Amino acid sequence: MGVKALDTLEELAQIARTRPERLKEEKGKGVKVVGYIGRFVPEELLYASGALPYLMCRGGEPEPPDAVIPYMLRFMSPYDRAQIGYYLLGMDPVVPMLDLIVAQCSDCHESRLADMLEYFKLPTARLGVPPDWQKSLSREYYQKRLAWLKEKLEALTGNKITDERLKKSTESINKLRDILSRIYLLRKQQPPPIGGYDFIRLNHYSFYCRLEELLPRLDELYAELKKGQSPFPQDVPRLLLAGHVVGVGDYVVPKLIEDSGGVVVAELLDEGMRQHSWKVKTDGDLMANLGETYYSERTPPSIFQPAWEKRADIIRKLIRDFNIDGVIWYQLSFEEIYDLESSLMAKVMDEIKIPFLKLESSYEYSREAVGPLTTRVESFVESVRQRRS
Amino acid sequence: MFAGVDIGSVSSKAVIIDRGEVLAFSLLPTSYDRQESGAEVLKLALDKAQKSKGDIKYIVSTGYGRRAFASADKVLPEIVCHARGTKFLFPEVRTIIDIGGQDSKVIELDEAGGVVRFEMNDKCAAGSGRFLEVLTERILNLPLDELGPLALRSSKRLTLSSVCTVFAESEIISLLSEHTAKEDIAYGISRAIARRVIGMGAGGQVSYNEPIVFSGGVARNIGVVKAIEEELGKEVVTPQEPQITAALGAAIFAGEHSQ
Repeated sequence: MGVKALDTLEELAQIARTRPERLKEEKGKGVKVVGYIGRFVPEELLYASGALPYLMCRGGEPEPPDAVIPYMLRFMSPYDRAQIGYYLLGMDPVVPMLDLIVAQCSDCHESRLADMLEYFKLPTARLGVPPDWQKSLSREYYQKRLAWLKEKLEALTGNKITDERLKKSTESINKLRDILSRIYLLRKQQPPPIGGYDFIRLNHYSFYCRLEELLPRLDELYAELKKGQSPFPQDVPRLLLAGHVVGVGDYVVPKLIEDSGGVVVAELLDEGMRQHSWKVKTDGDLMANLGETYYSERTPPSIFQPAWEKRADIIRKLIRDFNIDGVIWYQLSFEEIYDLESSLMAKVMDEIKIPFLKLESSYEYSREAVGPLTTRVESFVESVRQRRS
Repeated sequence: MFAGVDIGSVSSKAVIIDRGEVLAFSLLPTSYDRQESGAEVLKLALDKAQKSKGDIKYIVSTGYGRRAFASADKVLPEIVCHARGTKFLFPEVRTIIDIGGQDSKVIELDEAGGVVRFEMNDKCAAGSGRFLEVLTERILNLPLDELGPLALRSSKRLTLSSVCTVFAESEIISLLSEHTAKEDIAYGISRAIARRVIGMGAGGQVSYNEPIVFSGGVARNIGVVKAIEEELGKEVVTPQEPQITAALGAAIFAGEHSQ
């Protein structure tokens, strides 16, 4: 990645950092600000309603999950605990001014988080997500919840979500996904022009910048990256980062992987990343199209049952397509479904002789915790490198 | 001539090799100044080999304090160094169990000696050398090197319920107050360490294929060696110098990297 590309990335980081002030300004003009938790909540609907979206997806710091201990079990995901923890500690200036928080509920951790939002009297709308995704009843349920959310947003903003508005927002988000996807695919090159640490951050910034600011800069970035200049050596080991979520700010692991001499060239993360390969259809029934992309046809997350065999196929395909040398599985403490899936994936990787490393974090990145984590990651990367050579 | 320097949390080790032969090795306690520990332990090995630092073509450092050693030409993590050093000593090795001063590792190797998978403890030092030291010297009032032979005299198969140093300490005090024989407690401590490290490896899906090599300072304790063999139901071999395998691996890598 050349200097110009780095400058663009930094520019986007700065724009993203100013999101709270800008939302406050817009709210002062009467615009509604809607928070949302989870990748089952279609941004297209939020934009079409005229509201400004704010993704609640922070992580990587130990204090917010700890602040919630009186209300949520210690044995719940630190990621879900953190989303309310930042609010309780006054570390998130946006949450107190939100007009609505759309909280996806796909498992007990997220449901408890929605309970907490309601307990603290934050305006909450639950979006239930049934895990048995192959049943028609589940699809109907999700579709009905989207219709309910549409009405709720219309009532909040006073704007009717017409087909025209929804089509426009869908086209804009499709455009954004397309450019991110093209950048993502450049990572098939060896060495890749952009690593996982930068790509994940870029993906995160895309949630906090206005589309009209974002799209031209992403086009510039793509053009720069396409020139092929890479910050990585020719023989850098290529890694896949898989698991639940890299929250906004939780960059210790991706950075450590790349500081240890590896590069993350692809991700399979259920949350926290914009699903750049999606393209929502813009003809016919637009609400049904959203349901199809966001629920029925999506890459199944770990919570979907039965899905792990399909997920194993997806990982195998990523390994082939991106010429992956090793898989790093990143999950947070007490995420039981990811814990189970990590064992299954380790066996699959064993069969195809791909090295696999499982990492688990509680967002406690003290010197004592980072020491062994560094040894693990460096050892893995070095053993992958030796295996490659 | 090449050197490997392993700066561990408790002890620092250095190995000098030349033309595939170990010329000398050394071992010293690690001080708070890890750079100095590395420099001192290397100097000691050089003195033993009657060589000077100028004779060394390439140095690889490893271990907990690996990045603090400014004289290193290259830094490598200890898992791969353990694998390389142990493979040199035991060419057929398929599993390494290493228990050091504050950490433990289980490493599975393929036929070529490549690391297939590994597991290691996090920041808690439960079941490591420090655990053994505290319980033996402070609670049982025994010199550390007497614990192993004492454990072998045990006829009971006592197990401590915890490898947390704090909980194990109070459990041992209770056992002593019930007049439990010290040899049985000694075996109980060894068995607790064995179970902890074996369980840790199993959690990381290590298969414990044979031959199994047990290294690290705790491998000097014959009681723990026996307990691991009993718990696994497999034979375990220990290097003559179990603490220097990572430094040896680092020295071998130094030789390879300089070419």
